[in-house]
Amino acid sequence: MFGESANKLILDSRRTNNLPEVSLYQTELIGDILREINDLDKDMEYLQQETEALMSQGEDNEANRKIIECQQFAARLTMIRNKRCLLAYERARANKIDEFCWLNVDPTNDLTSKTSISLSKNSSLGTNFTTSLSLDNLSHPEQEYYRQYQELLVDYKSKFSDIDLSGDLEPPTNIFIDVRVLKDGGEVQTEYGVFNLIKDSQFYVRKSDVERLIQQGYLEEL
Amino acid sequence: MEVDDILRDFEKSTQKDQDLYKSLTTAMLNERMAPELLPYQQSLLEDVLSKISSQQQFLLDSHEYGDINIDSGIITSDFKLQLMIIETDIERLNYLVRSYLRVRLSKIDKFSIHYIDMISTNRDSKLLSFEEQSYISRHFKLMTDLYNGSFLKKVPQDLAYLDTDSGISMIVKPEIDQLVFIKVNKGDIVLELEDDDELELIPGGIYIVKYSLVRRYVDIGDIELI
Amino acid sequence: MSIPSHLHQNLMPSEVNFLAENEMIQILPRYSMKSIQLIGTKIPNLRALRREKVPIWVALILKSQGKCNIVPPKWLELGYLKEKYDEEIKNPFKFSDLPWHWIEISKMLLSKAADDLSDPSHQLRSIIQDLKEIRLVKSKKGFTELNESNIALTGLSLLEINEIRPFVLGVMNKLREIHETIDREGEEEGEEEDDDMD
Repeated sequence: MFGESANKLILDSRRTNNLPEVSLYQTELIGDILREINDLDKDMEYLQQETEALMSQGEDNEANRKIIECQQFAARLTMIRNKRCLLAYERARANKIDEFCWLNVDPTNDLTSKTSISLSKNSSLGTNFTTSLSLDNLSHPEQEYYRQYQELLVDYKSKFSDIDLSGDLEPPTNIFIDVRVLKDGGEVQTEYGVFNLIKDSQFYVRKSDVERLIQQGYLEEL
Repeated sequence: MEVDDILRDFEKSTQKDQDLYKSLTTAMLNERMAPELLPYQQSLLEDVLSKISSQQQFLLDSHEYGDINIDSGIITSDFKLQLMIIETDIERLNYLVRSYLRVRLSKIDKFSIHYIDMISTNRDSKLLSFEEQSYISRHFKLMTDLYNGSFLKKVPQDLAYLDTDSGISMIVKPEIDQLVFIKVNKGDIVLELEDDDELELIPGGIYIVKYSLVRRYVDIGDIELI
Repeated sequence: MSIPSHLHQNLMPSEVNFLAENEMIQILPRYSMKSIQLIGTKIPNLRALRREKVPIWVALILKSQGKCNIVPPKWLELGYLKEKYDEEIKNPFKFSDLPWHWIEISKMLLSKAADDLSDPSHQLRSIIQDLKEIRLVKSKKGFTELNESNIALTGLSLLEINEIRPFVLGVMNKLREIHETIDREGEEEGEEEDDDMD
């Protein structure tokens, strides 16, 4: 039935829109839809010739002409609908590619450690924000779009050099924290000076400076 | 100048700084809650950005050279704490600006054709910043390239345009009749509702109303979106 | 989109908290400290035991480093909150007027400056909980009166608003859409009648 492939495409779009990734490009389905559009276009041409033929016969073919007009109308509507579905599909995907670009991380094929770090940093993003991108899932025009949009963002962000526009959308809390040393270690150098990891001593430090030390078990946040 | 004058000047500048923080917060909240894009707060943003930049520089210098007010250049723990407070202040403003700019871009992207039309007819030149105007037109170009490359070049010529479809319009516009929460800053505002009804707003009052009814009061600051 | 969908026309609880931290509060410094020029505000010269007003986020940093005590706001006190609770009961159609950020501020001070409060934490916590609940019941009762055009909620704090926002706006916007459709159909019918009369 006409429009069936387009329907499938929209269903796929609805399903994958809530995923945190950009799903595989529906090459085959889109090929089907394009074929349908072009077939319908040929039908339209044929119907046009029919009409002209009827006209030239000069007979009273009112009824026949009406039938042809209806066919033309249906064909035209289906073509337009198909195109709208293609546009909607591509726009939804572009939105997701945009989202990923905002994270400012490299695309990947699987969840590497790099991506998961960015995930923990951006807990405010919710479950359907695009946090991973596999270039293999994109069509060629989409890959090109991805590169260009990245450039566009870099340009835009460069106008605000003191603002980390790709930073966390969660408001800053506890940029500095009190920590206690759990086990002895060496000297730690920070912008705010040096401190020594001596068991049970306490410091007030920038959280981002000591996140690794907390993970490694040298410090605990109080 | 008398001491009083100096004090008054000093108070005024402090007042202005506090207004800066308050204005930025209000601008961010208004932008977050409004269904449409609000005029870009050009001078406010310029002011905030330049202050962040010089404060950032102060922080860098202090880390490098210590307290310039003390000859020895030693970093005392008090001074360190002060720097930490300054850094926190910068981060807090940073977040407000980030949220403000990004929520604007999300609306610019969502209603791109609508705003491109607006810019091209020059109906409201203060709506978008210079950077946003460049962003919107470049992004739109990328989108049309993407549509063309993906399928528009493969469909019959008369279908290959973006905006010629008969029937339902493809241009997404902001829904300005959406309901919003408001907080009233000034008195004497009476909203005219349908069916000749009126709604008198009291200062400090909180209401839910259609955005279209209050947009002009939001613009002049008599009403805040919350 | 440059922001996640749940941030559009909505605030995260952490953001409401952030806004509350910008409110001013009185502190009682324990040591002297030179003034600091911040972008948003100026922290005055601090002298031991001389009260000053600073933003809450600054007060909390100073407090955490043992540099000051926080002077609790006058409303964060058992007697006062109990009075408000009675008011809530007496006026079933009105919210008693509490500060714009009363829930967040009391939460912050209870967790980070409990020793500065004049009443025992557990008692304060329980009256705050009672107040929150009675106000929530009230706003939920108000939900039965939701309509498509407007509603007054004066007295609610930002956090309380933020909690009911998704539900209330969802319902009201749906009602508005229905209303508009009915209006439009009404107009169309009207036009048809006009046509008939011609």
